[in-house]
Amino acid sequence: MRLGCILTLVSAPMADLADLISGCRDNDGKAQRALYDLLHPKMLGICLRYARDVDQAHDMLQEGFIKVFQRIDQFGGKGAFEGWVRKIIVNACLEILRKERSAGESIVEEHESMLVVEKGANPLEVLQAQDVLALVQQLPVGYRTVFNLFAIEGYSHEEIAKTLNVSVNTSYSQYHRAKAMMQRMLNSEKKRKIKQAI
Amino acid sequence: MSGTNNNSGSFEQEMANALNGVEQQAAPYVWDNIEAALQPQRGRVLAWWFTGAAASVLGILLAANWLFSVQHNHEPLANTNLDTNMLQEENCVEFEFESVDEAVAFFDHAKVRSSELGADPSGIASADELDSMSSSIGQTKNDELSVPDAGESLANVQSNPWVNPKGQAKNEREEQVIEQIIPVETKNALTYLPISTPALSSKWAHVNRLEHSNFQALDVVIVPEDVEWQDDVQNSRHWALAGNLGSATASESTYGMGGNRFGFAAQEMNALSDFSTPGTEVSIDHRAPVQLGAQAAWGFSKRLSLISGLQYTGFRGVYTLSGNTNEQWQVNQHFLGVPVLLGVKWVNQPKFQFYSNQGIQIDKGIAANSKRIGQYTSQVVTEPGMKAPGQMGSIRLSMGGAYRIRGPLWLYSEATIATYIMQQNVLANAATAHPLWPSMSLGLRYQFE
Repeated sequence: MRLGCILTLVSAPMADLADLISGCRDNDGKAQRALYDLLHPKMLGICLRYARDVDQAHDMLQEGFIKVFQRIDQFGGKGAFEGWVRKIIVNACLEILRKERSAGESIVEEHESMLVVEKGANPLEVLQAQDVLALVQQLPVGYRTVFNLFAIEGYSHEEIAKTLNVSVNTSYSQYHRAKAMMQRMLNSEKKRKIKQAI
Repeated sequence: MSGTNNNSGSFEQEMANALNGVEQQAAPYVWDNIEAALQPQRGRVLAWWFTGAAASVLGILLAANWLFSVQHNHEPLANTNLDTNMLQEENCVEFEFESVDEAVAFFDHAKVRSSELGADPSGIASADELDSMSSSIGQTKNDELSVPDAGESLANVQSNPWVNPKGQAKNEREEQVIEQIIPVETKNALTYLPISTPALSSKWAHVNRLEHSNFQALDVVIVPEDVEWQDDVQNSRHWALAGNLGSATASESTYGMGGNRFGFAAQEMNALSDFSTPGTEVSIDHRAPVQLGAQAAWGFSKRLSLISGLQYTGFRGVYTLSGNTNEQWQVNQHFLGVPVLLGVKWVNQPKFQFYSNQGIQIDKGIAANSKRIGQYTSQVVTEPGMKAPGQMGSIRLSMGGAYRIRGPLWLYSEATIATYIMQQNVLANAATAHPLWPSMSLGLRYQFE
């Protein structure tokens, strides 16, 4: 049934998506399930970037989709529905991280020494998406959050500062440290992969 | 808000390209939890959810309040009255000696053990007294008397710290006597019990039935400590040496024991009913037990799961002897149980579940200890080596609530009604006292699908 729904939605996305949204507004369980089946793999991919592990990503996905269905009346039809869902999912991720610990606290000092950026060929040419995701998950929670918001979601530092309740400078410096750490890990991983291939 | 940083850096772009394509199927339980959370919105089960959650919370609170108040006020959870105030056949255990010498050897040993336990052994008859007694009924101490089978291997008896605390039997015959004293069926269960606890007396006596027809010559009768001897025996042709575990009252025709712990009384007797007089009443107050568990639950459908694990139960009972003696003993028993349960989730929320479990559980005693309390607190006698006896098997029904700590790990609290269909060699405890035993337990549960 799930595969059937997906295939149907892929073949006629616009009309069916509107029907699904309408069904979800009527609290139709089948429509909710179909919408979940359609969007959850991609949304879980987002959650995995913010979470430290799969369990936490599942928590984020769960809380996010509950909010999506609870607030679906608030979707005004302007803009892409997937973008609206994505925003709620990201907020759910941030909320769970916020509960766990305040992002941006005492992380800067801990990883000061990781500012050195190794230079070389673009490691992303060698690594798979899952490899990159695994590296993102290794970032400290504060770095990871700012990195995701800035580099992937496209938030500005002002927006990040407001969202995470930190200063703009903190967001800026955290991002650059996260970026440096990420580049360093990417290079190391790339070298490891090449050695394995050899 | 998103997409406003005009991020044009190649690194950021490449990262976004790499990570935006990541997709992964979620675990099935995520949708189950989402669906459960959305059910109230659908209106159909709104009343069920609130009713179930409210009932479970209320039930847990009431049960917890009751249990805590019971503990706080030192009121018993249950009470057991042992029917040991009348000397009856089923209250006694009999064994025989081949000769007076053997009886003397046995009581010499009893005297030593009595001293070790801090009792006054002066009341235990001497060899001369026994000789005199046997002479008066025409027996000599060298008479050969009938000896019943010794029973099972003596090796088990040698490890008995009560009869033979150091495992140094004087000779094989003494071991045989010892073997006869210790009930075979309950040997492992009871050997470490304090000798004067009514539980021991009762259990001991329960297992060994005394037959009138076998009551000949120099027999020794072990009776519960709270039984009082009566001295109006008539027409007796036989002597009995009676080892009394507690408070036998000496009379003119009874060589009473003086020690609180062990002794004997020599009694001319014709029938056991001659002993029967009202004696000490034994009352056991069972305190609310402590129950903790660790479980794993396999959810094989949306609502149903199979649950198993380990459950610890700590029983505490206060034995009060009143009447001829005033003693209080606190006996703690520790059990480990393995449940096999079918779980039904009635309310299934992302963070909360209300459920019922039904199934069976087997409990086995793992440890126990006892100490004398009350007005004799200054004379505390502790038996740290005591073993919790027996096994228990029960059918149970639980209602409870669970809170999701993280991922598949849940904290649960549940109220259980259990009925015990099997109790082997189990001392009296809260579970044995109730036909339907109510209890509360707390634990961690790993739920997977």
